Amino acid sequence: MRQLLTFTLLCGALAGSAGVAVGQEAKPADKMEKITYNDHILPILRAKCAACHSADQAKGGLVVDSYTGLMAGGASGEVVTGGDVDGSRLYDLISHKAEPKMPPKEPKMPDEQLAIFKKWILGGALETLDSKAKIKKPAFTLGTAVISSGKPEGPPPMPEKLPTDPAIVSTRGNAATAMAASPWAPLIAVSSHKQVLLYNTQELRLVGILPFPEGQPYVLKFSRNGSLLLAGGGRGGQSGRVVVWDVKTGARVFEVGNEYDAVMAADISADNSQIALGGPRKIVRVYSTKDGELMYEIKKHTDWVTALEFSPDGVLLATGDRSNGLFVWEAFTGREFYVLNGHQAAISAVSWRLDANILASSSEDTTIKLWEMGNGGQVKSWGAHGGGAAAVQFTRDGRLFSTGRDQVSKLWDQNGAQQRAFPALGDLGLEVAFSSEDDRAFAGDWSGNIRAWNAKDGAELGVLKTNPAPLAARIEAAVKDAQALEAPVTQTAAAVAALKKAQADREAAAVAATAATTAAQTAATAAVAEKAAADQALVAKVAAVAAAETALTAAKTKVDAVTAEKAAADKTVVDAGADATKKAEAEKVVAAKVAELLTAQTAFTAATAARDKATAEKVAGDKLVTDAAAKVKTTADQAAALKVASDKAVEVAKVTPEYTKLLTESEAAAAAAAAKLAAGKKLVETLNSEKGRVLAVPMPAPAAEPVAAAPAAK
Amino acid sequence: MNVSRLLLASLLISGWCVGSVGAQDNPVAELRVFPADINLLTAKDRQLMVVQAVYASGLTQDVTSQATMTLANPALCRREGNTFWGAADGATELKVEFGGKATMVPIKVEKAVEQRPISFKLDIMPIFMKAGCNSGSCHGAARGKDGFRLSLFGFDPNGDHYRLTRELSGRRIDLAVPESSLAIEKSIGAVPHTGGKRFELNSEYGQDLVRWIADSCPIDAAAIPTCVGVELYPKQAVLDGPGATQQVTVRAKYSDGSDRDVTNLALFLTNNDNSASISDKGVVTGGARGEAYVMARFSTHTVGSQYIVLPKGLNFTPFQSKEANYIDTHVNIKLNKLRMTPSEVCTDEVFVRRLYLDLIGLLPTLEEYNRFVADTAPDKREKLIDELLNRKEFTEIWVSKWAEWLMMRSNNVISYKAMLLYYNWLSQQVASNVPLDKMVQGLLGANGGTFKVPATNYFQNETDTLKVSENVAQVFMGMRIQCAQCHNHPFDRWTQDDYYGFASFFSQIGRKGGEDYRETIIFNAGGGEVRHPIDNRVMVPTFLGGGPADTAGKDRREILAKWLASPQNPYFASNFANRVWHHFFGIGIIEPIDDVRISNPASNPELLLELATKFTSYNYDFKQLVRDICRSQTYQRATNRNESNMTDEMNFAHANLRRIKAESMLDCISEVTNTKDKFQGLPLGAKATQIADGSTSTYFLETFGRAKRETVCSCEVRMEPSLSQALHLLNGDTVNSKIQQGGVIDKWLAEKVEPLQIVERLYISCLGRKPTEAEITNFKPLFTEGSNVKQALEDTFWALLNSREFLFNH
Repeated sequence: MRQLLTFTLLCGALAGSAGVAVGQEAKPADKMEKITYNDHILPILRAKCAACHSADQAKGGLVVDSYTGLMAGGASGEVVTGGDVDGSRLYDLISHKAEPKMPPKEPKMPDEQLAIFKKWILGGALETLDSKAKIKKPAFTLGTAVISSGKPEGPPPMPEKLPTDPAIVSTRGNAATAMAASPWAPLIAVSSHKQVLLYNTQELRLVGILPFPEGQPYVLKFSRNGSLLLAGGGRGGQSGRVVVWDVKTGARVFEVGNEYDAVMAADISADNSQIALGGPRKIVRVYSTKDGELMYEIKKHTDWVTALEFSPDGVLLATGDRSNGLFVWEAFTGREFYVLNGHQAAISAVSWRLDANILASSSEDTTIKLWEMGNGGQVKSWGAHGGGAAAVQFTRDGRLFSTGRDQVSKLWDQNGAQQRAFPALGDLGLEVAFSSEDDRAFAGDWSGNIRAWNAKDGAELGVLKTNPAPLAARIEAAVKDAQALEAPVTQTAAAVAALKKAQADREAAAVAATAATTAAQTAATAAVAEKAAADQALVAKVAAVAAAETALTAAKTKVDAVTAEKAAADKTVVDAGADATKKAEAEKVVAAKVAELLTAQTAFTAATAARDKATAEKVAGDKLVTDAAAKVKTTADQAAALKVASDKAVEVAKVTPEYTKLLTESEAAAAAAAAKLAAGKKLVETLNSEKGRVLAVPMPAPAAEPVAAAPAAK
Repeated sequence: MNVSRLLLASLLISGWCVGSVGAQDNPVAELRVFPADINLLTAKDRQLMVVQAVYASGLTQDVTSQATMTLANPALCRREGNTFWGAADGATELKVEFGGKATMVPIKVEKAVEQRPISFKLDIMPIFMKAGCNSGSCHGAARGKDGFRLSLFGFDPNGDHYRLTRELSGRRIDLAVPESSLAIEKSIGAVPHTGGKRFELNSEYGQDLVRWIADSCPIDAAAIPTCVGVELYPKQAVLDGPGATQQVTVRAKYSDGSDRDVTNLALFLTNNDNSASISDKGVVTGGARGEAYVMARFSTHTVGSQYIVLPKGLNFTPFQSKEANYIDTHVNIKLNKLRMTPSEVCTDEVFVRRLYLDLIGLLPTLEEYNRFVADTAPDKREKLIDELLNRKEFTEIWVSKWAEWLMMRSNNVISYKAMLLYYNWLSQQVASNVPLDKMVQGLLGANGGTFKVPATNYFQNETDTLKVSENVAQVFMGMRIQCAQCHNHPFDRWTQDDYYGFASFFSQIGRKGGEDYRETIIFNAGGGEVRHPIDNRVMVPTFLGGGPADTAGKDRREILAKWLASPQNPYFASNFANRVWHHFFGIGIIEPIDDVRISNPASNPELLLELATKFTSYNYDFKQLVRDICRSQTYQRATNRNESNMTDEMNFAHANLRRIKAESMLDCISEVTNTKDKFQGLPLGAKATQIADGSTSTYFLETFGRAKRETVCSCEVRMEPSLSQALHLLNGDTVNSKIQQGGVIDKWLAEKVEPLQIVERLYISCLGRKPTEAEITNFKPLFTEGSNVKQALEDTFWALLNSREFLFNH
């Protein structure tokens, strides 16, 4: 809390409006009548005049953004005389009472502001409410990080419950002007209009938005231990600032720089003790983070400072400009270390290898060059991107990742041999970030798309935007997505079920077929037995027929014999004709013979009948046998057929590897769909939980903008 | 009833507006409505109408607001002020009435409700020009301004698109929030901008930019219509005094046949801010009496209108003056337009001195003076002209002039011998009166050794292809096309295409050493091309303003020379007519004489045209042209101005005071002091005008601004007086020692000529006139008894040579 208060004090002292608020707390009301330089005049001067009349240019020898500078006056002498409005040239010029009218080529400033100036001069041109008051220096506690190229202890810093609802929403994304990857966490930071986006590189999901009302971020850097995020940027032509956040909490822990144009390059040193920044004013300024004091300025650049980075060991500082100037300085003193001559056009980025022995630089002259720090010599140079290389970054393992105007992002080894070229971006490549932690490469382009690739295989993982949709819209989309994910779950589950049912059906069919086969086989066996019995019966019957025939033959023979005997008897009779005895005897014999014949004939008849019966029985037996044989065949056939069928069914019902595979796949698909759905639902939940999040440490009140307010976002 | 009352009211108002020129005695003679038709295409198109009344007195008035404008079908158009916008498709008519006159203007409206996408080249680039972004002092500078560069006046739209959107990607353009783009914030002054606030965010400029950025800053398709011409209305106006205003309207024509009102996008210029200023909204405001040429620039086209501003309520009766020839006719017509009366014709004394100085670069001797003044023949001036035209000094003067234009000067490349041969060739050409076209054709088409064919030295003098073509254009066509080397000419029609197309004629000059090491042989190499610097395409040889030439297999220079020095080239004859004119008036009809461009119009185009026509019809014999000029009343006017022509500098209402050129000045001083000069390579007594080598000079000549002959620029000859000139004449070794050396006074004293007589002789020989009574009275005390007469006479001589009357041709 104290930190916040002192912070606010600083802001107030620098920018005015917040300072008034603090003043109200601390000072009696009557003192507020006083107009002071710091509270009222400086904000106006900064907005209207200081672009030319600051230490950067000091046109006409006048510096207005410091009290002493303003009171010292310019080339034409004093410009402010306390208590004497008419004698104050400053007032004459800004009220357009005298030439040259100030600010030049612009309408006079509003009467209210002129009135403030008048009142201030009449009041004696005070510096502060109380001349004894001193500007308090910030007491930031960034702490000193241990310089180490190894992984810091503890879990890698990730944003914890940061707001993810963008304050500024636009239908179109601005160009990706800045990107950075956390050295130890799966996290990248991406520029957006007046905010910084934090994306999780694993989930490719927004995990935090840090407001940057100062303007467009033009540079983003994580501290070497990954716990801090630095952003430099601002409003072109007007103001530039560097802000440092705590990655976990999103709290602004440091602000530095009062540039008159947007900061284009900045970095925080490896031990977090220094912050360097530069921009269109061509001056590199290095501040101490202990007390916010300016440590030194580098004025050697002849063009806009476009790139700078502290070495990972904290000893050196490399800076590059929009011409072709590339320098290495001693980080703690600002003394020139090396002048690296070789590039032909603007330096677009510089990056140190982790051991701080090699510096990589990319340039609009299409090349990437490597410089060694032993003698400051150029060790490698290769044409990397036709039209101009826009960004280069050393990966932790010493590879280089770059992009450029050829729209292609490339991964190189240290000799400049291309390891991989990722598919072309849709527009000019501007920025890169390489997440060494999970080997993922990110490149941002002019149209605001950031493509993510797996560096191992070059697979595109997704596209991130510089203009995230509002949380509500994202929730709506997630809900819709989750709903859409339900159908696949049902479908895949149904597919699995169908697969399984089909198999079960096949198995049941096999069982049935096998049973049928068994029954048929039993029937066949029975038929065979039956036939055997019939055969046996037939033998008996044949024997019976034979016996009957024999009996018949015997009977016939008997008949014949009797008949013959009768005939013989008859003859005897006849012979005996006269011989009655004989005749009688003969006749007696005949009668006996007739009777005998009768008996024989009866027997013959009976034998005939018996034979016929036996014959009929044999015929029946024959049929029985035939029938039984037919049955045997039929049943055997049937059994055979069923056997084939059942064998087939059994075969079909066997669990095949294909089936197993299909089933596994389907089950996996089902599981995946379910998991997706769960994830979708989880995302909805997560997003819902992100609703209403605010920064744990709120932003200090923004500095007043006396100049026309920025147009509202669409 | 109402309508008639309205009409009456408007008539009354208009009558009142005309002011001192009453409506009754100054009726409307003509009602001009601009433009003559209205074509509205898409919702973005509009047309600003301008109605101009021409009164019988010749004055014009902007009556747009007073005129009654009635649409036949009011549903088709929406009117805002005097601007018409399409409302519904169709065709109708606009009736414009004023002062009893009426005019119908046809209107065609198409795609009235369709919003056209913002085009970079047709909408955004003109904003950069209009707002001054791409001017030379701002982002159009070669290295840009404050880190941002645009092509000067937009000669490279593709490059501008690249730099604006993709040079420092994300800085100048904010696709997410277009209004936050630096390009817009700077323009509207929302953030500090060295160039200040250029326009409002809510202006059409600001909104077009926002719309274009919101549309992702598209660059146009290759086949976009191009602007083929610009119309500026009204074409002519005569304003009644300071404060009188005239709105202009500008319309651009495109290659697809469409047109567009670009009044809000055109850049307005005036060549005489003092007489007619023009606001960036296109309102011309009259100022001091005079004439101004008001111009509108859009795309690569500049067009102009003539504005004459008269004193308010001026009463003027057209004068009638004697006209010796066509020159006087044209000059007098112009003067009548300007309501100026010319000065009187000069006296014989003035005439004889002026003519001698102009034609032969010497002062008339005592005898010549006396003979002319005593002559009573009515045509003595004509006779004197003819006599002097045949003097060899006349030739020398023009050879000297040509030597300046052809940069005759020995140097490391051109040996003294080659230069001398070159000079002799030139002298021979001029002396034998070779027609100018033949001479120029011979010069530009020359092939051979620099000794054997001395004209080839022209291509040895300057060996850079581009510079040669620039020099040819400047000397022979009077045009400075240098601008177009790097960007389209900001104030003329010439584009880079024209420049490199013209330069292509000189891309095949071959050079090799001759037998003598000092000699170079110039020949047609038959190969070599000029390429366009932006897209590297090979340029076809193209005549400046004359279309492409068929040069296949021929000597390109010969083709060019034939066209250049011929009536097909509209600039050749007029250029030389203007150069000749300049010699006799000290100011060209186009001034400077080698800066012909649309934005530097002729002060009297009809006169220049007729001079050029005559010159052509004289078979390019410039002596005849000189004769015409010297015979004209215009040439013979006095330098004294009258009340009406007091402010005139451009229209030859009076003769101009002209300082005598360096060479002639030295010759004159030597002549009157009877001394001889010695120049390197010339015999003792040679005249300064005879110096062949530009590198030969003396302190006197340099001080008086003799051309160094290092460039072709007419500005090399410096005619303005300076302190060092005055000091040199006062204290330098020239005047004093020449008075001593020449012994003129000694001779006369020895001849016992009376001192006052000697004074008179000195007056005549130096000033071309006798001393006045008052002057004689002043001199008398010098020659009283006991005074040192010789000393006094030498002092008198010295004083005369130091007088302004001596130094100037008047």
